[in-house]
Amino acid sequence: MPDVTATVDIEAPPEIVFDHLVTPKGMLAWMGDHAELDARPGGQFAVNIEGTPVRGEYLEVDPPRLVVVSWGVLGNELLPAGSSRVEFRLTPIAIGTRVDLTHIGLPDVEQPKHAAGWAHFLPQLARAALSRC
Amino acid sequence: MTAEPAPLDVTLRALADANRRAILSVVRDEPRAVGEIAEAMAMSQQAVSHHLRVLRGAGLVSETREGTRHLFAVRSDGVDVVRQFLDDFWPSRLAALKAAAEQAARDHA
Repeated sequence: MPDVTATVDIEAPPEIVFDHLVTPKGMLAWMGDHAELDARPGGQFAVNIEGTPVRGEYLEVDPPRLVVVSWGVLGNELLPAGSSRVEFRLTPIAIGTRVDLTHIGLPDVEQPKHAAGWAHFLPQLARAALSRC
Repeated sequence: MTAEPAPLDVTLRALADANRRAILSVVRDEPRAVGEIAEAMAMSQQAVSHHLRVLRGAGLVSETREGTRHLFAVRSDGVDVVRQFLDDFWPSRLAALKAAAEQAARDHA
């Protein structure tokens, strides 16, 4: 599927936003219920998001401007650990920080021939989605 | 989040069952009749019919008639709902990041 992009403007300085991407305490304040993070290139990026074990590595860490991690789901054939890439770009703006996110390398879930693939992937998404309702 | 069940919610609940996921695999390449699915699944036709009703209700399979036979096939619209979920994932996460970072900034002040 095409890259996913998203942007948010945050009323907090880049240093504080950056902390939320590289420390377990900061990460868990907005995503996941367990995190093991080693925020240096090649370091572990492991976050359990409502039952989904997201696994990868920190690829780039440039405080307080850039964090790049590899991203996948442990045991998932369609999106294996470390198989996609998420970039967080932090830009200082008047009110605080703009975060531009890009998620690249996501699997194609649109084609019926991949039905077995997405049927395998979905239960994990289901847990993530349902637990938020 | 919303009062009425979102389409995604229905879709994902339908997919939360391993038998229903297996049925989707059986009908993904070509439309099949209930009897054929039951045979492939080694399940009773009654049980397969029940699962097909759930899958159809979730928009994941379509039903067509060929003479007296009812054929079931994977419907791609259901997959689009999932795609929509993936598109919504990061915006909702970033909204949570915003809330957390702004709270932290207030605590720092």
